[in-house]
Amino acid sequence: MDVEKAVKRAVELGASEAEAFLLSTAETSLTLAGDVEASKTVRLKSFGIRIAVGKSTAIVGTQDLSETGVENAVRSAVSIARVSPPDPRWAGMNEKIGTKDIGETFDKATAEATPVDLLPIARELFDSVKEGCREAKPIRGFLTSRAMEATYANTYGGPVTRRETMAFLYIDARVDEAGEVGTYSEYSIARSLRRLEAGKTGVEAGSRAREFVKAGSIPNGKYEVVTLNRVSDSLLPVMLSPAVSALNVQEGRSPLVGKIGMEIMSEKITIEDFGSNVNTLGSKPFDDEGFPTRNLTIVGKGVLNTFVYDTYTANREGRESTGNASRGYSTAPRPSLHHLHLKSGDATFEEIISETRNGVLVMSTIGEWMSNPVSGHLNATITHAYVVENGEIARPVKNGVISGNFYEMFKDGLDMVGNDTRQDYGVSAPSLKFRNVVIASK
Amino acid sequence: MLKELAAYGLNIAEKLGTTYVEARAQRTNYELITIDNGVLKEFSKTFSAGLGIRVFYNGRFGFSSTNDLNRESVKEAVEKAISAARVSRKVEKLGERKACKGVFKSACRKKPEDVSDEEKVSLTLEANKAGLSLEGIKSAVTRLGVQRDWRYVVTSDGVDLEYESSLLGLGHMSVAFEAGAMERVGDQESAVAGWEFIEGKNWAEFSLGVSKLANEAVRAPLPPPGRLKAVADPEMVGLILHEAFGHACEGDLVSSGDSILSGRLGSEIASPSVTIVDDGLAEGGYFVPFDDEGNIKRRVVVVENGVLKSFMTGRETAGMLNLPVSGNSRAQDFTHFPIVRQTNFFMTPRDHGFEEIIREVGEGIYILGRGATGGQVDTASGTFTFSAGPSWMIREGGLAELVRGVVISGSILETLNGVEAVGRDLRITTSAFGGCGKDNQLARVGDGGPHVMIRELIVGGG
Repeated sequence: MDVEKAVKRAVELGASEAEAFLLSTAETSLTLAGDVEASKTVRLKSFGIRIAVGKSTAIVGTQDLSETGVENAVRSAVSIARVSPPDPRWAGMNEKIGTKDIGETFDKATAEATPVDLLPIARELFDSVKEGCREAKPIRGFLTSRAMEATYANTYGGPVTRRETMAFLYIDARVDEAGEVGTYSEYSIARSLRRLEAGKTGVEAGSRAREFVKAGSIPNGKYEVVTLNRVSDSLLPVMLSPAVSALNVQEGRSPLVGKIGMEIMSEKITIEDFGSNVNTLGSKPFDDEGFPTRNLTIVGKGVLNTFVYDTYTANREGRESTGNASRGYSTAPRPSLHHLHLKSGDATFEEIISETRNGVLVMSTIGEWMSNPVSGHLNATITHAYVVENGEIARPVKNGVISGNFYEMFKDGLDMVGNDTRQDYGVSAPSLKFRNVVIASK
Repeated sequence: MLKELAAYGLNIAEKLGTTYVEARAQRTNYELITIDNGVLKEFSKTFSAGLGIRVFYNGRFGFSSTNDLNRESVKEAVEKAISAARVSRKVEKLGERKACKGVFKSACRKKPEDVSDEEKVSLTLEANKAGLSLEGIKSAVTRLGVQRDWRYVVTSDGVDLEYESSLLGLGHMSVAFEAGAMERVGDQESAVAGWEFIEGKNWAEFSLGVSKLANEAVRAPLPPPGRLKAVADPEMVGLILHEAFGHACEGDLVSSGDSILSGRLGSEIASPSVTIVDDGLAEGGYFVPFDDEGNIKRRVVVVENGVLKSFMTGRETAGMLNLPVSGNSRAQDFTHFPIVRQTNFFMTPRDHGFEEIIREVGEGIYILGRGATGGQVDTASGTFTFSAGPSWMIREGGLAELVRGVVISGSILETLNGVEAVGRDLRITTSAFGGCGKDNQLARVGDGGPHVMIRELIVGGG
């Protein structure tokens, strides 16, 4: 379908500005439950049109890409905008459309993979769970390959197109031993199927599951807490991504309001947004308004350097967008991080553990997404952890809630930054060690 | 046209040697109005339509979908579904069900699409202004969500079912600021109904109430961390049940061993005052007259007086577990195959009055769902967690001070065994804004129950 034509049609119908966004996704996936429980191949195309009539805007998204479907969407958007009250702060759409070279983000074999192509990887995953522990069973998992293409055009330019592929696998392993159950889950994510580490993932899930058969509980109290790199990856975006969004700052919903130039974290912490980094999952050549991306230092040695902007929030402050617009096909763009990167420190994982006297090594949490980025209150429920005593991993434990102020934890509470960075989609961070963290438990 | 394409897909699949085919057509419209601090920030309408095809080929299931609504694409989808079936596991036995035909419509007196866009914007704007009118409120976002969903399932074994449902609601979030501290409280009310639901309520009062609570919460302390005796309100009971127990009763997790309830049918797993039901047509809940395999949704008593009676199933899991097909095989939309999901999952009421429960607790916490952000469970280990809204400490048998930032954690079976009293009230709610996530699929659900006293929960605090 022709996005430029849709933009032109909107202007003909009375829009002063229009932008069109076309998303195509192709996905092949296997659901795993001991065996391949189910498999599917799906193709989906979605189209969104956002228009402005003066300072009144509207968005319509449709998955009916026939000529009539698109015409109806454009007409509907114009008619909504005509009756919508104006946004006094609206100053127009992005006028700087372009792309950044971020290297190859597309793998043909991954984009065209059939369920049959995924099968050997699933087999390797199952076998490696057994390799990790002979008694371990792979009980639930996924294996997915996905290709996405996005095309953007507006009244000022375009179209620009970007495409990327991604592969993901996940496995839950379980060991039953004398009436007790141990479980553990592990995952791997990459640009292409061939870069997935199925063997390593399965071995880790299987062997850990056996260790957690004997998991005890953590006594209520304050501890030195080490978050394994993958736990750091899950905590950071929940708290930081909304807090550094210029929209939340401007609308008074971020605890970082008025804190540019101030030390908000320990000097050991540097956080970047890899908008245009080569080979980083989440980096892209242009954002969801067609604005070229860039790398940004959000926090430099503990000091808050910048928020992230889309065109709307940038216009409100009379500055340029940072290229951080993010959207679905039928929602308005909002500023958001592309890939949050916490710069690694010097300490190896082993050194961090050896420096821990009375601590808890957190391997896996759930519910961290229920933390409160507005108040800065972090909470996460531990499903798998180890007690660390006098520099050594002592025994497995489960259940307990980590609770505390995120910024206090990352300022005075931060003790060590590891060098064992793990890359996930949209985030990469190493293991971290904190002092005096409250864990609520039995 | 969608129905015709579904029939075409069925026909093609049968010719290609499948032994069973299920074609699902869907058309969904969703409108979202977002008012941010007095300004219309987003008015969006989303139209989605497409076809999902699931085939049973050589004893295996495969799935594909398309939203290119022409015969050629449907044929391609059938071929892809067959190719997907080649790698799936062999299914030994499918649960029995009867062929049936029918058309269902949820109650809707005034169609939301007949209400003008201006009226919808102005109502949302007024609610937002009321929320902002209170001193101390720095930020307020109000959303109006309106969904219309049409689903059609036609299968090669004689099912021909369709439903149309209307779901709508209004949500409001306020951020209060006091002496350098900030706190947010969000709440929403939704119903399977027509515009009459929106007209029947004072939404300015509703958002003002949220703001008042945010103003109180920002001054409130965190609860003391550790073990506490708890009273949960109907919304919290719904959340706890859904997360802590409902998922572990889903037949797919049970049959794969990913549930701590595997192999425990017939055993006592909760205190005798606990009876839990899953009902697709419960008042206040979401509307699920049949599932996405075309099974009529049955009311399932999952737990009766503390004894585990049944699990929720689709055809495949019913076959594996030797249980009846309960009609719980649901798909987010036409691009997903159905998986076992809850519909409206709730505890049935008993005889305790609210004051009586608080008095009996003596010392503990009264956890409230208003302002809660959700929950999550690790079904294999049985650990669950959820966040409550601003809640009350209970001291000397009465409500004492408000606390904020309440996060609860527990273990499934300990919690249900620890139910010491069940109230006589019952409230079930649903949402037009969110749902339950499982296997990367989102499903609208309902949940609830009466007020319930729980012996012990772990409360995260400061």
